[in-house]
Amino acid sequence: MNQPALSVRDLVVHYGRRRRTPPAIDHVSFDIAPGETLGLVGESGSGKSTIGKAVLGLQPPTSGSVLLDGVDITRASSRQRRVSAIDLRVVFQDPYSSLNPARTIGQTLVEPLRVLRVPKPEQWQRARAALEAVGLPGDAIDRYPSQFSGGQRQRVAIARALVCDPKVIVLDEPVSALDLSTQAQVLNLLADLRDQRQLALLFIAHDLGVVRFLSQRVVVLYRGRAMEVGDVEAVTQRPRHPYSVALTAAAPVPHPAEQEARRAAREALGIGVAGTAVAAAAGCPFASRCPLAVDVCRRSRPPLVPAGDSQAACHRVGEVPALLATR
Amino acid sequence: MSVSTEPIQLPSPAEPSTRRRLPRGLRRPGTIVAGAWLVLVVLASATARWWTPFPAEHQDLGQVLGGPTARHLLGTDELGRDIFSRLVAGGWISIGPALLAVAVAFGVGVPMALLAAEHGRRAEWSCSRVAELLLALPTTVILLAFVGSVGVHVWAIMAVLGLLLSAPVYRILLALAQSLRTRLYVDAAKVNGVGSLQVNLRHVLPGLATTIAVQAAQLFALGILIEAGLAFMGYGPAVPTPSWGGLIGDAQQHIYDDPWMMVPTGVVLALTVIAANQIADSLAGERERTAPVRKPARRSGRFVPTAVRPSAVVTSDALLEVRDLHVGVDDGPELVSGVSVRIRPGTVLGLVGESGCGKTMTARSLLGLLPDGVAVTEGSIHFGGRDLVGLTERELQAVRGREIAMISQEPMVALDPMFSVGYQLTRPIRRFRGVGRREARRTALDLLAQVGIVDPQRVLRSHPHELSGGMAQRVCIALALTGSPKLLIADEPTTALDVTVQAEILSLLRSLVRTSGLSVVLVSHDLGVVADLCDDIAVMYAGQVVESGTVTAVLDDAAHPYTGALLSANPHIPQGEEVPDRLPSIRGTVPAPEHWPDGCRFAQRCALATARCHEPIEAAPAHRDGTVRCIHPLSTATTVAPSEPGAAR
Repeated sequence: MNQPALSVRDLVVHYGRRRRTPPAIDHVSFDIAPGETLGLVGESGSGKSTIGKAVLGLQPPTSGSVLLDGVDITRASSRQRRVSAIDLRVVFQDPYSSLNPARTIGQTLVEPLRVLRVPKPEQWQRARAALEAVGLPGDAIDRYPSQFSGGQRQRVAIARALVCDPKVIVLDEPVSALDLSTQAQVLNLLADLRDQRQLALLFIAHDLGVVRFLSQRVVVLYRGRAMEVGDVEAVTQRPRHPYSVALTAAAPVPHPAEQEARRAAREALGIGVAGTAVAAAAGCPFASRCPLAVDVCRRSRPPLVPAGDSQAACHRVGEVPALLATR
Repeated sequence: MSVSTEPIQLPSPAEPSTRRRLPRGLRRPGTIVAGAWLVLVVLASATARWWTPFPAEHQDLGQVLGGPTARHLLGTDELGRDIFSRLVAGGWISIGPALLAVAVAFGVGVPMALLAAEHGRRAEWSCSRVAELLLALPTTVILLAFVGSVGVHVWAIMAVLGLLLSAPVYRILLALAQSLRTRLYVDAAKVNGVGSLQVNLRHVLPGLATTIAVQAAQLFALGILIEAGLAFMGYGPAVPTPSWGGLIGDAQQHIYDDPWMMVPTGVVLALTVIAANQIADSLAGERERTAPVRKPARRSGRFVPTAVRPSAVVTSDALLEVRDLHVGVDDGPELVSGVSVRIRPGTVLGLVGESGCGKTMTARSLLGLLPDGVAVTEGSIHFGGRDLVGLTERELQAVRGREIAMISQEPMVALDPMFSVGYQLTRPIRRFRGVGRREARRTALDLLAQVGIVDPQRVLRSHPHELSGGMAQRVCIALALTGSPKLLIADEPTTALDVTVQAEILSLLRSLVRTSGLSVVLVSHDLGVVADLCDDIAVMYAGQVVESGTVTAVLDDAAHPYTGALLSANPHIPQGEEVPDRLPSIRGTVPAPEHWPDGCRFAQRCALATARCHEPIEAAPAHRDGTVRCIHPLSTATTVAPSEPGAAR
């Protein structure tokens, strides 16, 4: 465990060529050890998918670095990535758009192996093995994606990631398009594969419940900045950033009495309505919605500091337990 | 080393790779004839020298300008040459250059479109400027100028034409290529290290194929006409060589003394152009047919007429009562079978289940808004003293908006991007309430304030794209309230929203129910959302209500194994509880409507199922005034999940 499987350092990403707009990702850093899952949570526009894209080389970062097993792949060209990023694969959210409808499952699965110049008989053997590893029968290999349900397609997408035997998989909302029962199947499969193969998973999701099930550690993002980083139990059960408090309080639970209590507690928090104010360039991006915000929050940007069992970027971090106590 | 929780059933290989066969559009008789014609013309022309009765240049000055005879099937021209032989021989010199033009047009246009789509804004800018330049050039003038400076070289002229045509080809393919490049499988291929050329060849180009084929067939027809036109003007192949345009040119000079000469060439040329267009048409039709075309539902037959029912049979206190509702596809399977639910005034009913369980179909039938080809086949929907089943479209229109309104999952899609929020709100207010413009505006401001918008003035002036998702859903709710409805149907109203915004919208709906006495039917797959907002709940599985009752009774004390399984598969572990190592999951997936069994529809996925479960099961009373459709209901004491956690691991 001395070297992280994936390491992201001070990542900054801007969209567009002009640097006038605030960055989509603003100095985010994290490490993932082999066999570990790091959850990346946030609302839409928080930049969680952008981090995934930057790691995968689909979006060039402005500054910062991405290290895979200690090797810098931040600016590797697609040709260099064939060698340096063999151990990095992806599973996307939408199982309908992530498989080419005109190619059989087998053709989809052997594509990465062809790039690696694996001998042909071995390609198909490995494709079959990958299908079995995700619980699909080997004869699925000659079929087209249209013959599969959403959950089965997502298994195929996972098989495509596994076929190269990678060390790191980026999971970009892999279960949010699935029904509840299928979602549980796929989450269990991911947990099994991680434990068997010591995979490092970067798990991007908007659902804290799902993140809590699969992840050991979590980064809470808001407008491209890490608000809180820490152990998943600490962040979800004893959040130390007002935004994490808002996120955990907003997730509904399927037990009416408990949900009623949670709702009352959430409404008592006094979190501002989303999307009403534009965040100031300086200061904390959450200040306009934060019930604890004071002048300093609007003026200067809070650094990540140790707080409780995690790290939080909040000037008023000392006040947060009191905020929680009111609920 | 399988980690599957159970062997996954694949659909039977009913349609093994139909892709390799001809597209359906090309299998229609008209298209087959058209294709056969083109092949025949090309083959006949290529082999002409071996079988035509005369060499193309053979002159017989004794038979000048003759009509069809046994010797000269289609007659002779002014030099006594056999028109049939010349027509066949001229086929290739007419079709070949047209094919060259098409090849050049796509040879230039396709790579340009792929490059521009791949390399972003700068490459697109350059390619588009080049295309605009080509589009701005007058085609005829350029072709004639080329002839003037280089001379009559048919193949070269048509290559220039192809170059000019590459601009419209680029224009059409660019947008398509750009949208194909946003597909996730393109990103997946890039992550897998697939090179740029291979990504284009394997993942982008196949998606363009149909459009290319359609365009090619059209351009080919255009090319033949232009080539014939040039030959007609004398810029065709050198004089003795036959070409269709040349033949027409010759015939034109004898239009008065031998009008017949025009007929054979004209007919062949027209047939060839029609054939090319026919193929283009059928390819285009193939592309546009996205869904199987069903015969549209007969307006009056949207509801199967039943005997006139006395409208006052409803004696309960329910605002809306659905009894034994069946919804089915015309000549197809049933999508909803025997659903009965009731909504009390001022309460919220949750319809929950996974996709494909019929909850949206049930909700939509309340408004008579079923898709074409789907209709209510049985049952009744009592609302406001009448049965909505059997109302005409006009009568339903009076109900929609005024008495029952609807909000949907995608607020951005529900709002028209072309019009301001103010315009979209005041129009229905004026229609529903019969008030003037100023009054309508005041009402709109009130409604926006009612749905919790802090600066209604600004929102009223803005357009949908200026609103965030949560704000847009608030506007949609305000829009639904314009007709002061008694019942609001909310189809997954928060699924597309962030969790904090979802909480805000749920709070808004709750306060509306509390303050205005509105009733809501909430369609959702999220049991947490249902627990938050609903008073009553109906759990649907495969077109049936499997369990219903008050939300507390059903969620805290689930009786049906499916409800229990959904609850335990939920990854939202209550505060303070330990996260399980694996989630208890339900094996398999919801079967398709045509595979719904006669007995309990959940039996094949249920761990508690016995032989008796495969016989029809009636809904039994449960939860005081609710129901459960199960003969092995979960007892309160056991919280057994129907399939043991992570079975077979």
